[in-house]
Amino acid sequence: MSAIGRFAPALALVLAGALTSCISNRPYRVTAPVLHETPPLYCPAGGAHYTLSFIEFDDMGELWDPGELQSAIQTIRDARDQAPLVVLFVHGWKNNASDKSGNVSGFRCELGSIAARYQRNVIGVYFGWRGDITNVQFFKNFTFWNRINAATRIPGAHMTDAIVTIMRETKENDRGGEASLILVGHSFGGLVLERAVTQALVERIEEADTATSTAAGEFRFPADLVVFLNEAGPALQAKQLLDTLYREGAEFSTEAGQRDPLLLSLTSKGDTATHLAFPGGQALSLYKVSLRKYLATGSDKAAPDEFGIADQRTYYLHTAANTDALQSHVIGRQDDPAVKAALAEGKAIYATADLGGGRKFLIVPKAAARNTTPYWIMQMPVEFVPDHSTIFRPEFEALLIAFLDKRPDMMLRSKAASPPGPRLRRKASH
Amino acid sequence: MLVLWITVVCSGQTAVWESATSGSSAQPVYSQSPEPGCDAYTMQEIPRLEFKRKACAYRDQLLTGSALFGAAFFAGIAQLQNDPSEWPQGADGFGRRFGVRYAQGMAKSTGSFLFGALDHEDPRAHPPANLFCASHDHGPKTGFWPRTGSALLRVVWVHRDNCTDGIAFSHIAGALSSGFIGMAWTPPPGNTIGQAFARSGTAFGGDVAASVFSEFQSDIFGVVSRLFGRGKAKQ
Repeated sequence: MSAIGRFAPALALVLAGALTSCISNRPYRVTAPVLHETPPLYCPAGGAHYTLSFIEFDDMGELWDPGELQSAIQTIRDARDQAPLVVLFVHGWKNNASDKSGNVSGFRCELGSIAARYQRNVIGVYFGWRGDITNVQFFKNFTFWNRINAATRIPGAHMTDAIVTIMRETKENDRGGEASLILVGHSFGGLVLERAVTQALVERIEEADTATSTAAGEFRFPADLVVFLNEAGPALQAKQLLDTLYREGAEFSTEAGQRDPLLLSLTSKGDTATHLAFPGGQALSLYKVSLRKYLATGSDKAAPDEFGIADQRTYYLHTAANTDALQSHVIGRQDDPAVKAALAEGKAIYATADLGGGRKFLIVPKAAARNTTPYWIMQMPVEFVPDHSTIFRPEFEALLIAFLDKRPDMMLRSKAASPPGPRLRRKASH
Repeated sequence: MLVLWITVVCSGQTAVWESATSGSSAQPVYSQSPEPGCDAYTMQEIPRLEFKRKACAYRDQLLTGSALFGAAFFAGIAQLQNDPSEWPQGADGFGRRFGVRYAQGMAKSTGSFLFGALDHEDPRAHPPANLFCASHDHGPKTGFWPRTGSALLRVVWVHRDNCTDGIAFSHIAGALSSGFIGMAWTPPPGNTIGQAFARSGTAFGGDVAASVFSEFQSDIFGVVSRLFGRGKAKQ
């Protein structure tokens, strides 16, 4: 018997097992898209009750059921007088909206923790998409190219509309001005969220001079913070938005001039998936794309772009937070060389994240950073997030709070009268 | 090619579902969230792994990249060394060498799972703190030597479901299972009890190496990723 013949039964068994392990293209929550829950008993931080709403998108980016979006909107509307804290989460690779997804379990614990800590009416909005197509762990890793294509494809009109509608319902229709909205996208979910929000944000920037803005050239963006966490998407996406913000001279600041992040990209220094595996995966797909060198303005001579990068290949292979040239800030202890360099350059400390036990981390603009836009990009120490996937933890929550505490309109702890919140405005010099 | 084909086929799977109208509740009644299964977050955060979740962890070990590539790597070395010499070269010989190494790996996982479950051992490297346990010292360590010591200790000393720590019989049982299962197919001259113990020792050494590698994996990969450059600006 030939070698192939000898192994044919085993091969057939593996094939049959692999194919029966496929996760079908289906929604999970159409029958009950809104859940009022107490968190799982094992959650590390315990927790209080919360509301969890699911909005699911199919593999082409269409809403599986527009009723899910309507239910989410109605939930936010019903809570309008209770100063709700809305957390919109877009999950990543190897996850979906089912109860078997680790991101669903983690999000539940996180919502419970936030609700207990801030005594607010917490509404979680979970954006589900088909991030997982097989149950076999080994095969999951080979779905990288298939799923990054899906993550690039699905942020279309339906998703952007869903995000904008939630933003408006939470912030613009918020009579008391006390509602808060945080958007978080993890891994491929960061790519999904970035692509969806970019469209909405660019549209708002272009509208800034119209009657809808609060004053000429400025407006309040209807979200308190947009976070791309361990984002697994090529920096090309971020680069285009950075270019727009750079050209428009946009800054996100309070009346007093304090600059805040409008968009925040945070990647753990221990995230080997985006540090190493992502460039590897992208390198294998280089044959599919045509990349170019950057040219000097009005010339056909090669010249680095405003961030000092010579070609698109760099942005294609790396994520934004793993591209040194795009990093705007550093997070580290007082004795961290990058923090020391920034302080020596006269940069002011933006915020401090205190993890207790003497573990204090400073958030400082990076020394000689070229990215001075309101899209802040940085890496975070492993104390906050140790790797790519362990994201639902109190330490990361503390880091987000360090950012949010700087925002006068967040009012996580107090429902006192709100001072004017940060606004996105154009600088006159541009 | 096979796995890529499978991902393509899987990506085309569509199912029908029951649709129903959804609505909002004016007076929400908060209920306990459903009992989680074997998802990654729960497996990491739940203080005590029940038998069902230990079985999930075992299931996930049976077909992994490290199991397949490890078996292929060591089968390749054995092929080069013509070990055992009774087996042919070529695809047939490589298939046998690969198959026995993969089977030994599965026997190791099975032995480790069964003895670990019977002994109520927690298979996780860093079990989370359990409020019902008086003391807990299984969190990640800092510093090279403490981390190395912790990685080595994990192979012989393990946390149990009843809050006690003790000898890791699961690792020993797994190594012995791996070594002795080889007696089922090893050709006669090398098929001795001594050789089985030698194979068990090798399997146990593999556990030690895997534990140390897993402890420093992110650091190693961090160094490797820096070698490939990180998009620095041209000065």
